[in-house]
Amino acid sequence: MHLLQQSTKGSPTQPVLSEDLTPLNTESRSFLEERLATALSVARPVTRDAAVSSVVPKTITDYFDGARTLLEISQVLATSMQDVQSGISPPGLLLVLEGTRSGQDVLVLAKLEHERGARATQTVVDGKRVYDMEFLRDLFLTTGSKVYKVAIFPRNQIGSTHFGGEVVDRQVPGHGVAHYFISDFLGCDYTQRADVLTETFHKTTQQYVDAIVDPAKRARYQVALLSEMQSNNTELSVRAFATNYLDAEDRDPYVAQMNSAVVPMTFSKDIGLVRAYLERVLMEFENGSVALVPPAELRDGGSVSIDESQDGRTSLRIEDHLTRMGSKGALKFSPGDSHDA
Amino acid sequence: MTPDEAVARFKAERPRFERAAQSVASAVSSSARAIDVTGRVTSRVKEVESYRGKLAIKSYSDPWADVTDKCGVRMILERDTDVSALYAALVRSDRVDVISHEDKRQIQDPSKLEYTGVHLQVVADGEPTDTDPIQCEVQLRTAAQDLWSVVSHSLLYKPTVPLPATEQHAVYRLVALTELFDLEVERIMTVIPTLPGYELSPLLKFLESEFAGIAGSVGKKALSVSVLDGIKALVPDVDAYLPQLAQFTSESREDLRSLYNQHGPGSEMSADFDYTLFSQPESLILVHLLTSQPMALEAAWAVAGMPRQWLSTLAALAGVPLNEI
Repeated sequence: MHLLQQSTKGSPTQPVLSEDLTPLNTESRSFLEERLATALSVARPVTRDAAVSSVVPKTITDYFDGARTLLEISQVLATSMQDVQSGISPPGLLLVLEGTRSGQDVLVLAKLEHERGARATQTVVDGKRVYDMEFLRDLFLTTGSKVYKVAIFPRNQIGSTHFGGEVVDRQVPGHGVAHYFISDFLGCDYTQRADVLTETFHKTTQQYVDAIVDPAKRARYQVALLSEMQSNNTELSVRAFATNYLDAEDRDPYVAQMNSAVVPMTFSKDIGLVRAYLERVLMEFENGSVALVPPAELRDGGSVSIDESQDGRTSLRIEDHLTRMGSKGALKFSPGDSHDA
Repeated sequence: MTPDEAVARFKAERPRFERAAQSVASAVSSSARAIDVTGRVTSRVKEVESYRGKLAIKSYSDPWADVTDKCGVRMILERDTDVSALYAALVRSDRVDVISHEDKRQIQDPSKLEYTGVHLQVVADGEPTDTDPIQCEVQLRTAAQDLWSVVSHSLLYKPTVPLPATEQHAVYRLVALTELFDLEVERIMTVIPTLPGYELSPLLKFLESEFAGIAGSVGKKALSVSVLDGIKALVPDVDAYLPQLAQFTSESREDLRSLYNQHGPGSEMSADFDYTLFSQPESLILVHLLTSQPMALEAAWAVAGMPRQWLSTLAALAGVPLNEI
C-alpha cells in the first residue's frame, strides 16, 4: 500500500511509498477478498489503448514475466498514479495485491479514499462507566462504502501482444474528473463502447419486454425502458433496472437474459445509437390498427390509457384534441422518420 | 430323529443358522428402508442348551422340523403404524419368503394381558449345500411392545411364585401404560407434520447431512430454521428442488470444502459476525440460490429482515457477489 497525497498546484507531489509488503493476517485477507470481489462484480473488460501513454501496462507485464517484484512494481504504479491525479482528486491509498481468481494468478490495483467514522470504547470516568467516542479519519474499505476505482489483471490476459483486464471506474458523486483511472493511469479503454453497450441493453431489454404475455405488464415495462433510457442517469445498471421496474418474478429471468447477451451489469450510458427508438412507443393490434404514443402520455395522468379485458383483448383509450385525420397506405418505419398516424 | 440327534445336528449346523438369520435381518432392513421406515434390527440363533431344554419340556413328534424358532429376527420400530406398514410390505415383498404371519396386536380376548406385535415365519435364502430350508421367526414391535414382552415374561409367564390379586392388577396397569405410550407416540407423530415449518424438514435434514460431510459441523438448528423460513418462498416444491441441490453440492464439493476450511467452523473467521453463515448448513442452499435466483434471494432476505452482511459476505467469498446497484 502506498499513500497518495493531494496534489499541489505548481509543484510535483510525491507519494509516500511503502518500503516493504504489508503482511496480511487471516482476518485482513478475508476482508479484502470480500470487499474486492463485491467491487469487481461490476467490472468491465478493458484492453490497452495505444493512443495513451502509460507506464502501467509495461510495469504489469514485467511483473508477470518475473522481471520485477510486487514491491517494485507497486512503487512504480503509485508514483504513476500520483502523477496523473489532478489537484482536486482527494488523497488516498493505492492498493496493489497479488492473488488468484478461479485458479488464475491475478494482480489487483485499487485506488481507495480515506473515510471517516467513529469508534466507541468503554471507559471509566470519576468511577462511572462512560462510552468514549473517538473520531477516525483514516479508515478505508468500510462496509457499505463503494470502491470506485479497481482493476484486475489476470496472467492469461497479459502477454507480448495483448494486454487486458477488467476495470471499475465509476465517477464519485460530486467529483468532476471522470475516468482518469482507466485512461490516464492504466492506459486502457473499455473493450466495449458505451454506445454499443447501451444499444445492446436497449435491444435485449426490448426483446424481453416483447416476450411478456400480459399486455398491461408489457406496456408498463415498455414505459420503464423508455424512462430509463431518457433519464438523466449517466450509468445503466441491469440490476437497478430490474429492481426498480420489474415485478419480482421477472427479475432473475431478465438478468439471466442480459447475462446471456453479455451485457455488463453496470456501464456508462450513451444513447447515441438508440436515440431514434426513444421518441415513440409503438402499439400494433390484430385488426391492423397502429398507435404511436409519446411515452410520457402512458404514465399516470397522461392522455393515453391501456386496459385489458378478461378475454385477453386490450383497450387503448386516447383522450386529446384531434389535430388531423386522413387516409394512409402501408406504413413503413425507419429510425428517425417522423410519423403521422 | 431323536431329541439328542436333533441337538447334535443343531450344534453342528449352528453356523448355517447364524448366516440364515443375518440374511433375513438384511432383507427386513432393506424392506424397511424401501418404505422409509427406521428402526433397530437384531438377529439371534437359539443357544444349543436352550434348544435342548425346549425339547425336554415339550414333546415334539419331529424335534427337528417342529421347532421353527431356532433362529429369529426382531425389528423395533418407532411407532405402531410403522409396524403395520412394514408388516404389509414384508407380506407382499419378494425379498422375503413368508410362510405364515399373525398380527398379535389384534385383541382376541379383552381380559387377556397381551401387548405384542406382529410375527412372521419366513424361509431364509438357501445356501448351495443346504439339504433343507431354514425357517426364521420375524417379530416386528414398537419399543413399548418390546419392553412389555421382556417384562411380562418374568412377571407373568415365568414367575417364581404365583402373583396375588393386587400385584396382578398392577400388572394390568403396566400393560395399559405401555399401550398408552404407543398411542401417545402415534398421536404426537401425527400432529408434527401439521406444524408450521414442517415442510422444510426434509430440506434441513439434507442440508445438515451434506454440511456435516463437507464442513464437519452441524450449525445451530434454530438459526437454520429461521433462515430457511425466510427464503422458503424461493423453494415452493422441496421434493422437486432437492435433486437439483444435491447435484449442485456434489459438483461443487471441493470448492465448498475449501470455502468452509478458510471461513467456516473452526477457522479464524468463524467468530466474526459477518461470517455467521459459513458455520451454518443453510449456506449450501444460499450459495446455490445465489447462482440461480440472486435477485429473488436478495429481495426475500431483505423482507425477512436478516443481516445483509451475512449474505453479502457469503456471496462475495463464494464467488457470486451481490452486485452493487
